[in-house]
Amino acid sequence: MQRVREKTPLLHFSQITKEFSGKGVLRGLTFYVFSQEVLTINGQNGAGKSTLLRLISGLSQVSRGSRTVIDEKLRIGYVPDRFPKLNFTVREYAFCMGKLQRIPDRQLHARIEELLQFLRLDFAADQRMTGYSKGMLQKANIMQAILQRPGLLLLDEPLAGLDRKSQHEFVELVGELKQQGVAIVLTTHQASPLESMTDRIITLANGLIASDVVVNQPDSEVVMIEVCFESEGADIGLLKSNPGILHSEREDGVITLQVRSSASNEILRLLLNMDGSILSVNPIKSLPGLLKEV
Amino acid sequence: MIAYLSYAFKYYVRSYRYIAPLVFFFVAVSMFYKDPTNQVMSSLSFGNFIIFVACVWLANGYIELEDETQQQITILHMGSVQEYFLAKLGFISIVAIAVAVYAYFYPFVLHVFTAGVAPVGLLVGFAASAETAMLGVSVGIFFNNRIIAKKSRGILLLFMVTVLSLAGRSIADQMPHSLRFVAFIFPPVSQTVFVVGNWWSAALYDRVAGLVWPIIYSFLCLVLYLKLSQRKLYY
Repeated sequence: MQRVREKTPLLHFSQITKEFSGKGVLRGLTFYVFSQEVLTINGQNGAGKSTLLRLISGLSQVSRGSRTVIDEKLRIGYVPDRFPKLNFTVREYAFCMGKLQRIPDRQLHARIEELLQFLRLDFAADQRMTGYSKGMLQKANIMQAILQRPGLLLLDEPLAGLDRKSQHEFVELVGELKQQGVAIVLTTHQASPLESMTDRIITLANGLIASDVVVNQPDSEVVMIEVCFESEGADIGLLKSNPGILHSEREDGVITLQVRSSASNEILRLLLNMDGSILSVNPIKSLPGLLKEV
Repeated sequence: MIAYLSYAFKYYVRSYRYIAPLVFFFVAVSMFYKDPTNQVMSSLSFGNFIIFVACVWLANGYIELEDETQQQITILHMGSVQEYFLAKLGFISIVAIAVAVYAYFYPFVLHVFTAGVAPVGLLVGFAASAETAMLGVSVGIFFNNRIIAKKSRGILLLFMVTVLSLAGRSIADQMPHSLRFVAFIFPPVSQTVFVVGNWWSAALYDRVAGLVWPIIYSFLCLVLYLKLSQRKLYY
């Protein structure tokens, strides 16, 4: 069996709530962020998308619930929705940001040159960013975020305010990052050209997850989920009959489920919300092409 | 920390926010020490007023300088909110101490003083300059947009606190004895100025209040600022 592009959980949010002055902007959200996936968070203005992105980045703290970084070596790059016109050249700026991340000088210089080429920004590398167009600023923005090769890249309304040509360029760049295996979480409040490369869409409404669906994925993909129970005799009950579950195996107090990828998020949520003796629910990996063998 | 200081220096230099307070500072120092004098301690003590005002102005201009979005990026790259704010305080403290050093050495370098002074007096003068500079930082950093949302209110309060700091001792002298403790609520600049100017005749209590209390006061302000900034950041 060939294992190509295994998806593993990077972050887990359990029942997270975010309040401002006692008012809940996000209420009891539970979800995972996986490696190798492009996750789009959509919802209307004020739905809490940017707040959620800041919670994912760790910049903002949850009011209640928990944020667990499963991959402890995970580096997160953050591309905020607005990038200031700083009085720096992009080369100087990237150097400063790299030094803050403690990247050694020689490695940093090489990486900056590599990224200037990758982002097609080398022609303006020594111009102050005060004279940059929005498209160029957005490239500088993404450059600071990927300097240290993050495993997870967060993009807040990345196409907002860009003209069609810059949007097209940006979509291409994101596509290349996806090809490189970077997990991407992006927010959008309207139909976006980035949706073509989205693997999963979470829709926020009134501070809750209105839907969490897998898209653009062959249904031959299977997600393995490990459910640990307090006692050996415990079970997942009626959930077993869910058509998304293809196979289950029990060993002591652990049940390993093989789940159709399109149904995996729904099943994860049902498991996480189940009462009873479940100790933990861990999505292990995603195996393309496994379904045929199952 | 060094990476942040280097970045902050570039950011600050290119912002030109330091120009107005530094012009004020250099002009005020050169005007004040225009004529030779044999009043060493009282000259050094009055110089502290200039240091204080310049440092309040510099600190207030610097503390809200960084673009809010860029601040988020900087914090993420540094990996720690606490380290970020500490580094920020470190930067403006270095600027303030540089201002204090300039103001202190200026009259000596230009031979403005026609009389000598005992080494203790020189040490006291220098300590007072550095402490006043840090008091200026402690006051200036508080009145920013993140702590006081309305900018006009922040500027008004900053102006009031600055004036009360400069005049605190005179105000306290006008008050009934039982209310004189109020002077300790405001940054004790006037107390420091008084003590340095009257060092040889000052009582021990005044010496302590003028030289030790500013250190404690600045430290408490900086700790409070760190707490408040981190809490306000978690939007």
